[in-house]
Amino acid sequence: MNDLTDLSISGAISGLERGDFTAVELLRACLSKIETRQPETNAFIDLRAEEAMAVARDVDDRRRNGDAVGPLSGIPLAHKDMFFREGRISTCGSKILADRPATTTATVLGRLDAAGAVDLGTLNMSEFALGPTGHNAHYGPARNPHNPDFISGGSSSGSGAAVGAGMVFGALGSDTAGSVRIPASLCGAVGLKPTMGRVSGYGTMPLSKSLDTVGVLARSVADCALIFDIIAGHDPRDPDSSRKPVDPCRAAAVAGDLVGIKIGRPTDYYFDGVHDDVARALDAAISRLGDLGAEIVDLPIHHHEPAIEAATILVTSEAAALHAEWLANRPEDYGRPVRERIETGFTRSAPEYLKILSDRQIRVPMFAEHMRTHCDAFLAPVMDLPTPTIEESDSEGGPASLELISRLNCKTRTVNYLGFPAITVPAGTDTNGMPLGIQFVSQPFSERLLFKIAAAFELIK
Amino acid sequence: MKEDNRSKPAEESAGSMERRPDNGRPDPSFVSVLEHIAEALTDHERPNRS
Repeated sequence: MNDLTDLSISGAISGLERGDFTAVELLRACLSKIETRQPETNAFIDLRAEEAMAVARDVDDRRRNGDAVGPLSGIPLAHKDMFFREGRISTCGSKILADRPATTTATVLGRLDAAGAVDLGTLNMSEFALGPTGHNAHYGPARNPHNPDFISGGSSSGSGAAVGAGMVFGALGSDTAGSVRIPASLCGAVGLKPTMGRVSGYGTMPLSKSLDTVGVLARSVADCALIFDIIAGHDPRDPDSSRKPVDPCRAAAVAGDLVGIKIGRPTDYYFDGVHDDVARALDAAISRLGDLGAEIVDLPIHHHEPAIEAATILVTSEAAALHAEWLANRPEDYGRPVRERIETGFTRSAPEYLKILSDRQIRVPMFAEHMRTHCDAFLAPVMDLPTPTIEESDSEGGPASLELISRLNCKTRTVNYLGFPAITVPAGTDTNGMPLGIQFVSQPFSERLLFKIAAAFELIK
Repeated sequence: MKEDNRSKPAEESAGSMERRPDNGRPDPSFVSVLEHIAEALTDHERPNRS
């Protein structure tokens, strides 16, 4: 293979183990790709090539000496700029945090370090992870690697762009309303939003404690599973992380049929009002799933519209509480759309907020039981429209732009309200030739099933 | 004068104020709600998908 960046993670690990190439050579291939693609995608905020090279050399030394190495040893990754690393700056896409070194290291980074991954630096993101387009007033927008006139999606915009362009083998993102799934879908990548509590949030930037989930973007379902298996599991430093044992997922992310699995086709809400391009992709996906042996069943959704409003109130209320001091003291340091969106949280009442949390404890188990009686997982679009251009989705562009932006995460936000896991996989292209993804949603802690479905779907393309 | 609720049906008089079994303590975390859903799911017979 001429370009090492075209390998899968498993393929790269095999090549490293066989001695076909070194970790330094693999890293140089990624750096070469970054040199070519960074100017047009603006995926990186901080490229840390020298530090990455030191880690790659260490990996090579260990292999040469016959020392034990971790399962991701020598694999170049980079992450959304909101996973803190002690002594280093994570901007969180903001001006406010642009000069504050972190005092701790995120658990997920620590786990990837221990697995031997090579951290290439930090990736662009929507300011404070607010915004589904990838626009950023301080660092510029990340651009879609398939056509730089189009958005990469957000808020994990650089993660989508870097993975989609092949600059890195995978990236972490965060998903509060679709922020992993949207950029993965738009950039032609696989994106996993795990069950809430499955992955530690310690040392990551909070936006909405009730909805935040650390997720993974990768080039294939198997690569995504490899990274997920490393970062998943209980963390005593995160009181919201689940103690439930992790089912390793990599072994499930292989070719196979879907006989015996019921996949729901929502009869309302998720398929409502979708653009023709999206509808065609969904129809083709249903046909493919049937070919794989899955039983396709109708799934009445009922009452997901209130979940959109509830999720919005949770995000804005919790973000307003987190940002209150900065909003009072440094309002000019926020991009205007981000500041205005957070400020809407101050208009919500405490009883309203608490009622939503209380209702959620009842509504979600009810939906889970309803879903169980119909299917094992359901299929949904990630977005109901094709990828917009950067220009038409600029929040400074007036009411039409704002209306468009509000539509971008209406099919993903509800899943964050549920707290369920979801995975997006590429499912074709729109009429502009831009990638288009679909998502599968399943019951809490059933990531293994999601990987099985996604891998089967991916491999029959 | 306050209305006397004592003779009303329970759901009308208590409504959302009625204590749930685990009340008296803070609401369980949302993650524990998700864990309970997953545990209940494994109690149901399902096809082997692994």
